[in-house]
Amino acid sequence: MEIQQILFFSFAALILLSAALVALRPRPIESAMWLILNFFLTAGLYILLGSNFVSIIQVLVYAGAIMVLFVFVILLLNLDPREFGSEAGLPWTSLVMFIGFLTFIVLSLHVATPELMKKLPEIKETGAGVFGSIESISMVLLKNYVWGFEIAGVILLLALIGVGLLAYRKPPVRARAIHTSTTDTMKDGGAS
Amino acid sequence: MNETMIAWAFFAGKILLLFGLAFGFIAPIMVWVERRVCALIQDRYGPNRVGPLGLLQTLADGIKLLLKEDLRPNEVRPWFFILAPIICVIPATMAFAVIPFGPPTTLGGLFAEPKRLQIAELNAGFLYVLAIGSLGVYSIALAGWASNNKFSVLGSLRASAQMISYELAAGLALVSVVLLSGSVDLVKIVESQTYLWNIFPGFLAFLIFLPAIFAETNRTPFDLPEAEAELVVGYHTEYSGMKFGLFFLAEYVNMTTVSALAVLMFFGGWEFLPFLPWKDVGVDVNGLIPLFGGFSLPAVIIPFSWFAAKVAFFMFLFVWVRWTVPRFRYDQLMSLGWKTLIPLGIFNIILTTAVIVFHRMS
Repeated sequence: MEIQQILFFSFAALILLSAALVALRPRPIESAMWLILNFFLTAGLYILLGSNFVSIIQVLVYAGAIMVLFVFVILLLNLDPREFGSEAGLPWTSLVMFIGFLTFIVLSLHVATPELMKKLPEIKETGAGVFGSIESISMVLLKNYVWGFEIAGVILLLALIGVGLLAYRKPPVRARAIHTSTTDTMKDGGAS
Repeated sequence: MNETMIAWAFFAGKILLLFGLAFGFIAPIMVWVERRVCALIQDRYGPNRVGPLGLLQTLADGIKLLLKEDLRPNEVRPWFFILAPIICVIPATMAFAVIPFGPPTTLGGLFAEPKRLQIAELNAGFLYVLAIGSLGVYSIALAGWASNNKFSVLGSLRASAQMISYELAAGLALVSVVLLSGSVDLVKIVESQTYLWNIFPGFLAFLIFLPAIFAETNRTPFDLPEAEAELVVGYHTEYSGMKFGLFFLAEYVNMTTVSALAVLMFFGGWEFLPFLPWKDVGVDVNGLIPLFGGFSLPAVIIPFSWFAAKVAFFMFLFVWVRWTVPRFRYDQLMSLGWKTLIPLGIFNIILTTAVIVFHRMS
């Protein structure tokens, strides 16, 4: 076996293992930790495919930004696994795992045929202008798909503004005088 | 020795040189420098008993940290308590992998083609530093949470919010540098600065970048996570012995990384003076310097030392600022980050783009 294949199979096995652990660990914080590891290993797969840029973005955005928020929420809630009844959820877990496993087997039988392995593209050297480099991705994004790219940007901006509107409420005008007249603030609906 | 063996030896040599320097030399020396400069600024002596000028003080402290009892308070969450300092050191070490520390060189004719003095030749170098740098948050969040201590939790919340906010500012500042240099590859960014360092066209970006890296590394004036007066020492209150030592080590390694990044992005990397590169002074990076007795050294050692000197200056700046500027208040920190640096960074990107487009059109 070539070194790339060895790396691919070890990454793939570890990805499956960490994904299973995300679902199986009782504490949410442990699940989050395994999910971060999972994102890292996926970034490793991207590097094997020759897309350095996508793998770095994977680490930067998923592991570095999104999961930080997840970890924050989990740490702040500080849930006890017994509180949301992981024991009671066990039959569901096993059912979901069973279906997932079946799907995995069927998909593997269907997809991982030798013909597919031959169809995989050759991995070229990375550098300026070749597959996976930041130059080639930006050329494609900003020339061929510029409208989709810009619309996605506008949608994200709208979402940002929407979140800002939902999260930011002006404190009630008489919030400081709450001990003198609670009823006024109640009429106000708590937010004006 | 054949070609492959020389290439492997070169690769291993690069790793050994960089990590040996970072952990065996820079971090211990910086601890000493920090204490001596602090003493100088505060008009006292500082450590001067262990070894000449107190240079061995850090070694003594390191032995002390290793031999100390490994205390683990009763109420901590054991796995995460041990995991946090480990996660702290890993990204700090990993970020070093793409920092180039000298110009591409043939090492005085050892190789047919110039080789890069950089461990991992990623073509998106500076993005990698940002991506790995953003992982430092986990160790701090976990350390605070696992310690099960209110000061630790408050410190870690502060640290995480601060690091997330200032990452954006640092990233925006670096984007305009990438626009100026036309590449995300750190070696190419340095090569684009041969005659004009990025600090001159990108002065505004540097003004944004400098406070951002101080906040990223949790150093004064932004060391709110460890504000002794309010939070004992924040997220590492419960840590002692070598676990604390790892946090301490990671702080200095992070300082080295961001200093190197500042030098590479704004101050011409290993080039000599702003408008005078080494090749104009007559230094050939592929040549040899003859020494006595027929021995000779690869000339690349000159730009390498110059780069190290620049990084050393930035690290001195960190220490200098720490003992000169008082700590910010928390709301001041947040409003500086979100209401000043980030809008300024976006404005700077638009300005830089406009200037570049205008320059190309005329």
